[in-house]
Amino acid sequence: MKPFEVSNIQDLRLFRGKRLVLDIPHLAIKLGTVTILSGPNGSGKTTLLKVLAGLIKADEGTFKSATQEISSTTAPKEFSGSHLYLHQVAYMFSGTVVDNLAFGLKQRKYDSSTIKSKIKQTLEWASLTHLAYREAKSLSTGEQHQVALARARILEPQLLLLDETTAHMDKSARIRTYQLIKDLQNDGVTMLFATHEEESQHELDGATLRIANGKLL
Amino acid sequence: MIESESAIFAAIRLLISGDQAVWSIIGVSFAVSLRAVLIASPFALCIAFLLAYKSFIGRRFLLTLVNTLMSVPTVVVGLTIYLVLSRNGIGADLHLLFTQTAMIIGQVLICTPLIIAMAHSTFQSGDQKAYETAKTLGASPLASMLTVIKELRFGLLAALIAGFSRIIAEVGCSMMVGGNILDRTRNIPTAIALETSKGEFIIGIALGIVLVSLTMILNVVLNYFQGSGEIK
Ligand SMILES: Nc1ncnc2c1ncn2[C@@H]1O[C@H](COP(=O)(O)OP(=O)(O)O)[C@@H](O)[C@H]1O
Ligand SMILES: [Mg+2]
Repeated sequence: MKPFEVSNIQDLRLFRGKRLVLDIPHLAIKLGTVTILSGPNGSGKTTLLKVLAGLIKADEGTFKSATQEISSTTAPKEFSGSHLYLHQVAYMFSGTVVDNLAFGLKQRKYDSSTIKSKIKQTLEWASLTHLAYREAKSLSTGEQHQVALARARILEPQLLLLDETTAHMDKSARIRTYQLIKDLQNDGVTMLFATHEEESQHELDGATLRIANGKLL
Repeated sequence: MIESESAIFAAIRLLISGDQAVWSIIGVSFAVSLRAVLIASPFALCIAFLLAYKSFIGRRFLLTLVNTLMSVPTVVVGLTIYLVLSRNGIGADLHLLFTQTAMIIGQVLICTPLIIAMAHSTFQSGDQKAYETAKTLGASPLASMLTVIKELRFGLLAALIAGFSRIIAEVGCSMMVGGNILDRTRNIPTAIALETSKGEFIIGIALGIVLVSLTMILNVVLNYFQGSGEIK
């Protein structure tokens, strides 16, 4: 993998039963870029994002990691907590918004004062301070997505894999979410944004990658 | 009618008076069954988790096996352990026959398939995104599993309670491998069977009251947990 890349896969193939749902000879994601992954329902967007995040194992293919030139059909372990996948419908852990933001930090065994200050700063960034102690599951879909974005950003990820993040939102939630994504872009976070809507391509500033039947066009 | 009513009052009086033999029997029941559930739970939860979240060779077979084992009569479990532990069995040297340990082994075997099956369906009906979210946020596979267990704690606790209810009332296996020895292996169900056969109905009724009350309390708790598990 080249130093200016965050992810690099080759000859990726993934089957569901006998059906080939991903067939990608090469995909490299460059550091600091925003890429829009556009394709109809069932084209393989979710599957590709999850493979890149290491949540699904590919059947064939080669991942290249920055530190090691290892070849593997699963994303390297170090991508966990760094190449983050955000579900189409965000999952909120039981507990408050603060508990949700603390989750990843606790996995990294940060001390509690660091966790506190990071959470405070991230809540301010996402304008979610007023929801800090609300039960996360009780929030609206839009708010939950914003919490999910904050929960990802707090880990200072290398790559965000966003799965139709704005698909189920009303207008105002969309505007706020696009703003958060643009902020992340300005911070230099690399992103791959899956969508089947034209709108996102206008709203986001990035190259578009088209996918159909598991193949990049 | 009058007679059976007075028998119930006599039974309650027996319980309240703190009768040593009766409370020893109740103590044995709890000591054995609580330990059995505690021993069975970690293993059963892990297996249930694997069945729900991982695809591996033999998964379907394991599911069928669990469902089959769930309906094996407890006397058959008792018989099997008896044969293993008795004088000519391969476990004879352990000298475990007619001990609480033997009863615990039996009850672990009885409640494990039930806990696996119930926990498996809890894991299946839970939101699969919890595991992926934990993983992608940097949790190790073990930490991710523990996160899912925490997220589904109400449903899983219900599975453990169901397992406990099954073994606290189980008579066949305890009788065979425990031997019904007072202060050691005589628990509520085996005592009821014995006292009734001797015509000592009052002790039987007293223990029956304890068992039914316990089952009722557990069901109330179970209901409460299953109810709160549904809140999304
Ligand atoms: N767990 C699964 N089992 C079987 N087929 C699946 C599974 N997940 C996805 N697929 C199939 O893979 C293809 C790609 O799905 P997906 O990646 O979800 O598409 P998209 O996100 O673009 O809508 C679809 O045809 C879908 O039916
Ligand atoms: Mg999708």
